[in-house]
Amino acid sequence: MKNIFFVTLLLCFGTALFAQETGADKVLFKLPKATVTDMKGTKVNTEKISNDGKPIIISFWATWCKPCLKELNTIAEVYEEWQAETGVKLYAVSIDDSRSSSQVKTLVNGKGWNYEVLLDPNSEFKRAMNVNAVPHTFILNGKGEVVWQHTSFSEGAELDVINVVRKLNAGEPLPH
Amino acid sequence: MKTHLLTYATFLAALICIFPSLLQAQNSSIGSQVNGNFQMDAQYYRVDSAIGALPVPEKMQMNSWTNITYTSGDFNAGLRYETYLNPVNGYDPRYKGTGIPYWFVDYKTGKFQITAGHIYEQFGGGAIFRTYEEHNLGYDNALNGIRVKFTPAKGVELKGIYGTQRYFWDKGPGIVRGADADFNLKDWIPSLENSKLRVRIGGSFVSKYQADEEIYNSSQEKLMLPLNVAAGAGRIDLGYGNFGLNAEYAQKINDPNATNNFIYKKGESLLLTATYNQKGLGIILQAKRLDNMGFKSKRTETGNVLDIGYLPAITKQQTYTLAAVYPYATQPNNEMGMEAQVNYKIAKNTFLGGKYGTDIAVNFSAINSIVKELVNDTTLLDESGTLGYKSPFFKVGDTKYFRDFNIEIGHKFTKSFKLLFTYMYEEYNTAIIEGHIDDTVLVHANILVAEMTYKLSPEKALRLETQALLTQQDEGNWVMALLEYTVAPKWFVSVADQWNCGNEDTEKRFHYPLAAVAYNNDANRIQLSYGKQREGIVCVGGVCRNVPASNGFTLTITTSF
Amino acid sequence: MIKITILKSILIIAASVLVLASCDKIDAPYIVPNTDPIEPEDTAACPVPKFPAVTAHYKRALIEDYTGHTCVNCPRAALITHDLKDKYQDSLVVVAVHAGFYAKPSTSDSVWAYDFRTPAGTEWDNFFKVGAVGNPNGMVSRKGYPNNQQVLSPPSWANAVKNTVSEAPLMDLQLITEYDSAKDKLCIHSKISFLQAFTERTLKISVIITEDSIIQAQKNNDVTVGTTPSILNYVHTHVMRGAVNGIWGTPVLLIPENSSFAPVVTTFQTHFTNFNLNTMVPKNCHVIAFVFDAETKEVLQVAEVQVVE
Repeated sequence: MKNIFFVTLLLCFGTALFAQETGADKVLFKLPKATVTDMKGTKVNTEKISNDGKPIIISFWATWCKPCLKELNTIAEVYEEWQAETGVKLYAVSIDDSRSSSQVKTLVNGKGWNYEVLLDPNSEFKRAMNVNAVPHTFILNGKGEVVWQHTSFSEGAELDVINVVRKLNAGEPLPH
Repeated sequence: MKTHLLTYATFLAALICIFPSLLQAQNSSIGSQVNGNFQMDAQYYRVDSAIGALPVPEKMQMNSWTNITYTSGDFNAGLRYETYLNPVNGYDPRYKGTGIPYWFVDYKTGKFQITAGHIYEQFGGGAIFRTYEEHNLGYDNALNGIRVKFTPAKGVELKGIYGTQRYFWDKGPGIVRGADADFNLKDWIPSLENSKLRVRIGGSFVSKYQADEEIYNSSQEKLMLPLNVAAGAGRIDLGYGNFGLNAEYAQKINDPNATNNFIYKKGESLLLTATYNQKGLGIILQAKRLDNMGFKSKRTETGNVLDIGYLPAITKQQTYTLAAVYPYATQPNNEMGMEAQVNYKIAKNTFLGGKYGTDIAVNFSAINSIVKELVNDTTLLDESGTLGYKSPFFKVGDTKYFRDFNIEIGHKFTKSFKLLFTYMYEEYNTAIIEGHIDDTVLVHANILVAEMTYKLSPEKALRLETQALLTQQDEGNWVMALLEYTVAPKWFVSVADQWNCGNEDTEKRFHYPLAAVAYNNDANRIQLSYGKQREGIVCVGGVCRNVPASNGFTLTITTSF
Repeated sequence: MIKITILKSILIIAASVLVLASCDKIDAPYIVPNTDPIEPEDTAACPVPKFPAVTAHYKRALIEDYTGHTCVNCPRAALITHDLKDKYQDSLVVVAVHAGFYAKPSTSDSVWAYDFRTPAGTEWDNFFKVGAVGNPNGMVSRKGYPNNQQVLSPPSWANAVKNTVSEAPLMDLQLITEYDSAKDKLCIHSKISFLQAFTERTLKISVIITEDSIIQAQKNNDVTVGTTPSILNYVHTHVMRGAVNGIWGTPVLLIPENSSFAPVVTTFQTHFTNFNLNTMVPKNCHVIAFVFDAETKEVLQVAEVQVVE
């Protein structure tokens, strides 16, 4: 029984790993329901994340995660240009727990970021989105469906993000 | 039972293979969906007696977990399959095994949300109730029971929980029950709607029950144990324009347990946070007091399991390797401290800001003991079966636990060159935090880190981290260098070396090299690394364990689907 | 597509390297002598005494307190064993096993340079993963091992001892010692008398020596026990000094099945000759013997006697 389970799991994993290679602009999944809080302390249902039919970037991050800060800092430099060009909106979801969640606002202001910042202090949204580790970035189409995702960040990866957003706007197949 | 679960898991696993293709065929009209993630960490060990890497009989060890979630409209269910064969170096050996320790079903209807199964939940900041998982640290205290959430009106949320907690592959003996209410006054008082003033208040109550057992005070006496232990907490979150003030106070009645040496004093905790924020400037001030707040659903437990409340450290979480050598760990029963942090951005196109601006973050934290005074002349401090001690609320104790002053400056010099510089001064009480001492109690350390990123092309970058930890105590000075080459967004290659160049014992001046390569594609990541890991110590609740050094390969695979 | 091929190759290579490397190639000889043979004891040198008749049979419990001299939380655990020993007297046997990280001697020439570790104690600590869970921790009659629940925190020892001593004993275990100070030779005789019918089960007997009243430095953080952070003249008790008949003992010779109950008696003799060599003080030493199930490791009966009356 155990063997069958493992084989099935392995097969699944295999399919999952390589399926996306061919699945150009397929919808990966719909945004799940979870409750997060905004910077004013108001509860927000994640289903309500929207951007008037324009693409949305959701980036999971934490104040203690160096690559996350690098990603959000890098995007912050070009965010205004991105918004002007594509109308995209970035939701930065912090998974800091009560140890550091009070520092989120301080850091966001200190860095001068213009993102929609959401707090997910007990990782409810993170679990619903099946995020293993931060940084993990999702791109949603105008209908609020996840069409692209990526883990980790390295210099230049932001070009891929905006590239996907542009293709979405143009209705072209997405690169992977 | 296990075969049963496996059948279930196999069925579900098979479902995820077939489901996505079915669902994707329907494209945007998704009615239900299956998602999940997977992680595996496998380590292959080599013997290295010099650094203390002992032989591992099974040569390879592996941790892995797979989450599967099924969503259909307002219905939601999920499970997690875990396997630790055997748990990798540094994990609690009691995780050894394979099974499905986590599953849940959740249904939302109108103003109600009902969850049955294993639950992760938090009341307020978590002081008296928080269940969560942190698999990379081997922590999971999920509540196995039920949760009801009720939202009678906008701005009001009521929650109730009832269950037992995860204890490796078993359940803890205590039953945990609790309720929480949260009110956002903005939604209640019309005049607040457009005011600069924001008020949010909340309160919670938690009680644990554990059957009686025999705890001897001496060979002739045993303790009268409270079977039900209650805790309550209140919180307020105030905001006015750029200012914010947040307070959370909690109290717990007599709870004699292994972490407080079975004293009958009540417990108390307070966390105060004041903030000021404007674009380009953020200031935060925190003060904290913990007095006898260790709260677990098993009286005799001392390890890092079965916590009901969550009492985070208010010190900056350091991530650079050498800056994280001496991390502070909360002392739930005895701690008083403060933290201050300022984040400032020097604007673009100024003398100090340069073309791209400069980020500055200054952080300071200081943690001491609380003051403990004798209850009476005949009782020793912390003597079991007594009230233990008296503690004046506003007095700070003499024992220094931890100090950390750090400053971080980030500046982008040109379009392709960035520098991040960190200086840190740290004082660390090994006796309190690590529960063991060599010849000194307090370690004083200066830590310097410079991180440089140089962009070779839009996708290619080189990153160099140089770090130094300078101390006269413990193992002496350490230096480290890490060079990483990245080709965005898929490839990472890095080499690093840590060198204990200042060890007093010249024969112990070891190098700890580490090389890694990682490939990322969408939400898939494969990383293979080879190198040596130094020895470490993990301490919780008066029990300390040693994580032995290791030398070998690590293969990590993660994916989300 | 090229990158996918590379990805696959990396995965396959990495997986094969890891899996292939995890094998133990055994070269001849494939058969080696059993390291703990049952040596017939020289009964001429150690004449078998007459064991007194026992009328009241009761089960005794064994606490193994895994500890170390640089473990600040350990003196409090030792105090718990003292209280329990006071309460249960002869029904409880205590062993302080110094093993693992906190028992490592300091490399500098200081009061911390002494070493109480023993090969058997270290092996047991690795096997039962007590130190891996943390110190102080211990086991009561090694119960719970098959379910990975053998490690108990010091405050939970009391309940476990209470439950263990209330069980009906499967056997009685008697122990007699004779010490010849001139030859520095200790003869140890044990006798197992089964009290219940039992089905096939492999039993083993382990004999160890412990020593009391050793004064050495101990780290401490509990003011109710002594000075902090160190007690320089700490009195160590029940310190395990070594296993007499190997790390995992000697098989107990049995009739494989005894479902139709008849009193089965088996005796075991061994000797020990190293007190002077190991600088142990015979009058402070105890001999402890315990019979355990070779598979579940559960200690079924235990006995303790002083080396010198």
